[in-house]
Amino acid sequence: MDRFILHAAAALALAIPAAAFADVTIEAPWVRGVVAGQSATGAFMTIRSTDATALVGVSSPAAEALHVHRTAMTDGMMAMEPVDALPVPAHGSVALEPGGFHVMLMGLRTPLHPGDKVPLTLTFRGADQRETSVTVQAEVRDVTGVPAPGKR
Amino acid sequence: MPARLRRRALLGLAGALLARAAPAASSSGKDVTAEHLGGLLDLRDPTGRVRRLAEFRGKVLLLFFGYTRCPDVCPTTLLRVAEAVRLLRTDEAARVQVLWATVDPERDTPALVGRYVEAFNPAFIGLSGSVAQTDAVTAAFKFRYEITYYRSEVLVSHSPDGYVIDARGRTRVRIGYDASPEQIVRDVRALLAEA
Repeated sequence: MDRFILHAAAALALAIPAAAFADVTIEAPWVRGVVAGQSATGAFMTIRSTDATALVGVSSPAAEALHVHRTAMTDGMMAMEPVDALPVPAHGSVALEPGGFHVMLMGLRTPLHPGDKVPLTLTFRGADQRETSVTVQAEVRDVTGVPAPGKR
Repeated sequence: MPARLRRRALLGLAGALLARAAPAASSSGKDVTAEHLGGLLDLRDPTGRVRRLAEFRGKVLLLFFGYTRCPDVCPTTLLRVAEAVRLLRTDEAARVQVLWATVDPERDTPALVGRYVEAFNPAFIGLSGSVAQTDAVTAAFKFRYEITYYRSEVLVSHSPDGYVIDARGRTRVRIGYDASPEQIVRDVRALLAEA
């Protein structure tokens, strides 16, 4: 509950638009910016759902391939593990944030500048095995991941 | 340096490390002097010039390894190191050099490596070498990394650690992934005080 309030307050405070489709809400999606020639980066967001569901696919015109990954320490090494289905609990949320889950964007097709908006289409599969998709506009931040001051 | 002074400086470093050790076990700031890590660099900067440890004598070095497609660990670490450098006084920062080397030179060109690290601080030096050179340097530091292929993706897993090297080129501290900028500054200042 605290987390829900925290996210809602953060969303309101930063006036970040949330996209909602059916029972799924995506909050504050952002993409880490890149330097020229960098071929991959990560996207982060918070996913909230009233019904239990799972994120099973991501696509975008901005990259050749997108996949959900989890950063995890295994055998003393930090590794990224592909996640084929990222569960979102009923009346709950999952955060894609540095240190945990992220969407990997590989084979970037266009330059990404801080402030640009990148469309991300997220596909969810519910308990009934039906798939629904929602497209959000993720804001590109600086490569350091620090949001621009005063930006919406 | 007289043995008496050196011992005092080492005790100071140990004290600084112990002071930070509580409460939960933390992998940051481990004194690795006795492990005799490193002692090897010989990697190229973005201009193609070979950089060797010897040229940095008199400076405290912060050395990290990673790759540019890393969306998470590497940028987070570089951001923390950049914040640590910002916390230093100007005269301290002038005696510190941050080095970052790619463990994926087949995909990270020297120019890309340079642009990447310089985005965090223009004074950081991005290094790269051949795969064999990369293996030699990482082995010298006992830094583990692995490149694997999953479907169409090239995944790089790697130790999250960094290293603090003293003004005489000896590897003294291994910095863990959870090190805060303040902890990094403490380690750096302890070694600056020795020189």
